[in-house]
Amino acid sequence: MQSALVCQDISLWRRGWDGSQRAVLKNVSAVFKSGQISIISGLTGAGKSTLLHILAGLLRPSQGQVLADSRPVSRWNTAHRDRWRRKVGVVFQHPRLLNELTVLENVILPLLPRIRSLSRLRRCGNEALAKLGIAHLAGQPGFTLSGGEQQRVAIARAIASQPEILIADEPTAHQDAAGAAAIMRCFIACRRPATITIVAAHDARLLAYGGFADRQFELANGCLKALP
Amino acid sequence: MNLRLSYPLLAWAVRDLLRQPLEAIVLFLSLASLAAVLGTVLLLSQSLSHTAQRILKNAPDLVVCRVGAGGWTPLPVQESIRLATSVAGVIGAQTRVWGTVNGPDRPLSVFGIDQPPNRDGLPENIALPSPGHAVVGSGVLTATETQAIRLSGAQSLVVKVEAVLDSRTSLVAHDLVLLDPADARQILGIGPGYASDLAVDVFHENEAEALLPDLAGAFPWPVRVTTRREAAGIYAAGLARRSGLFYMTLIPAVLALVFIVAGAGKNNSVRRYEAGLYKAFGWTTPDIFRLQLLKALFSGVPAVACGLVLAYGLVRWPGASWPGYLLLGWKQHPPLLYLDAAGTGLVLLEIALLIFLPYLAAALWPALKAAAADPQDFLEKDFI
Repeated sequence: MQSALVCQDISLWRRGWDGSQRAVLKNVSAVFKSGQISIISGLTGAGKSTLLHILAGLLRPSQGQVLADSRPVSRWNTAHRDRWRRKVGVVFQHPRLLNELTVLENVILPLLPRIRSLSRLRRCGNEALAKLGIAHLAGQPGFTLSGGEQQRVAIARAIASQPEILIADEPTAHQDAAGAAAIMRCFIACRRPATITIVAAHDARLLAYGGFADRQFELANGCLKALP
Repeated sequence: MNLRLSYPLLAWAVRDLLRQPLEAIVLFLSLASLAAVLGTVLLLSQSLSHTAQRILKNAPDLVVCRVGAGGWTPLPVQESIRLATSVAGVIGAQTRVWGTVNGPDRPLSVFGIDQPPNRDGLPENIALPSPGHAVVGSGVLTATETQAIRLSGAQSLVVKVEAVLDSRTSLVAHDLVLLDPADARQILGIGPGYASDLAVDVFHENEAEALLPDLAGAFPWPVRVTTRREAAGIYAAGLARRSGLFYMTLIPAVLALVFIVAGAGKNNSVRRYEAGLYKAFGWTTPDIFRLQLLKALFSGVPAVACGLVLAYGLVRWPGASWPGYLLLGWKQHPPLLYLDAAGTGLVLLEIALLIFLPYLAAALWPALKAAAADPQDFLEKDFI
C-alpha cells in the first residue's frame, strides 16, 4: 500500500523583531507520496526549511495539520510525535555534527536507542558512510572535515536508520559537481517503494539532474504550488 | 516511562562524558571534595555526640564536692560515705581521688585508682598501677621511649610508666594518669583518709534532683552537688558550641554545592541544543532521560563515594588524628578518633543524598524540560 505525507492547509506565523506577526507559510497543501522524490525549490527565505521542519515533526504549524498515513501527526502530543519521528531521517541545512565525536559516532547517533548491539551499530554506520563514499572518514573527528564532507556525513546520519521519510534541506549546497552527483545517486538508491523523499533545494544541479525528482514544487511568499 | 538500559547507551554515556574530559575531572574532584568536607565535619560531630552520651551514661548520678571559703576542700572518706548512704534513695557512694597537675609539658589529669573501674568509659581489665608507677593515656607520653614522667602538684613525684591505655579510650583518657591512691593523694596534697569528691548512685535517676536538699543537708560542711543532668548540660553546651563551629564550615560547603549544581544546570542548558538534536534524530524523552541519568550516575556516584570513603578514613582510620587537631583544638597530643560507630551509615547516607539529589535534579532537569518541547525550540534557541 502506498503511504503518503500530506500537508493540509498549513500556515505558520512568526513574531518579527518588531513584535509584529509575519506569515512564513500560508495555507500550504501538498501530498508527498512514497516511492517518489519531491523537490521543493524557492528563493532563500521563502520558508523551505520551515516547511521541512514541520513535515519532519520538529515544529508545529500555527494552523492546519500534517497527516502521515492519514494520521494527524502534527496534532499528536510530544511523546507520540517523538516515537513517530523515528521513521524520519532529517538532513539539516547546516550539518549540525557533534564535532568532538568521530564521523562514525555521529552517524550512529540516531540508532543508539534502537539497536542493542555495538557491532550492529558499527555495521549500520559504516554501510551508510559507504553509500556516500566516505567510509574512509569513519574514525576522524567531525571538526577535521571540510564543509562538503560534513554535509555528506549528515546525509549518512539521516539514511543510517533507513527512514520511511527522508527530508533533506539543501543537501548539495557545499558540494562540488562530483560530490553533488554522489549525493543524488545516494538519494536515488534510497528510493524504495515505501520511502517518501523530500528535498528542499535551489541548487540548479538537483533540478537539472535527469531522473532525480519525480515531482517538483515551488515555494514563494509562503505559498506552495506544484510545478508541471 | 520505559527506562530499559542497553549496552550501547551505557557506552555512549561514558563516551559523552569523555567528550570534555577536563570538565568531567573538575566535576569529579568538586563533588568528591564536597562529600569529603561535609562527611568529615558531620561524622566527627555525630561521633563526638554519641561518645559523649555514652560517657555520661556511665557517669555517677550525683557528685558531691566539699567547698570551703577558699573553694574546693578534700572530704573525709569514711564519714562522707556513711553520711551519703544514710540518705534515703541513695544506693551507693564511692569517693574519688583526682585532680589536675603539671605534667612534663602540659597539665594532666591524675586519678587515684585501687580497683578496676566500672564507669567513666575506661576498660575494666586495665592494669592497676602499683606505688611509684603509672598507667597513662595515649596523649601523655611525648615519646614512645619515655619510661618515667615527673608530675608536679602540691608535691612533685616521678613515676614510672608501666602501661599505656588502649587508644580506643583516648577520648576520655588521653591526658589521664592513673596512679596508686596514695601517690595521687601525695601529688594532689590530699591527706590520708581524704578524697577529692564523692560519686553517689541513687535508686532512680529521676529522683536525683529531688534528693539534692536531703543530700546537701546530710553533711555537716558546705557541699556542692552536681547532677548527671547538669554535667550533661555542660557537655551539651560545649558540643553545641563546637557543633556551631562545625556547621559554620558547612556554609562554604553548601555554597560550593550551589555552584556545582548551578554549573551542572548551566552545562546542561548548553547541551539543550544537543537534546533538540537528539530528538530530531528520533530519540524520545525517556531515551534522553536515560542518557542524562547514566551520565549523572557515572560522574556523581564514584565522586561522592570517593569523598565519603575519604571522610570516613579521616575521622575513623587509626592514626588519622588531624581532624581532631584542626577541628577540636587538640593541639599537642590529638587522641585517635576511635569514635562511636552508631549512626555512621545514616550520616553517610544523608550526605550522599544531600549532595547527589540536587546534582541529579540539575542533570535531569533539561531532559524533563525536553519532554514537552518541540526539538525546533532547542535547535533555534541554542544553536551556536
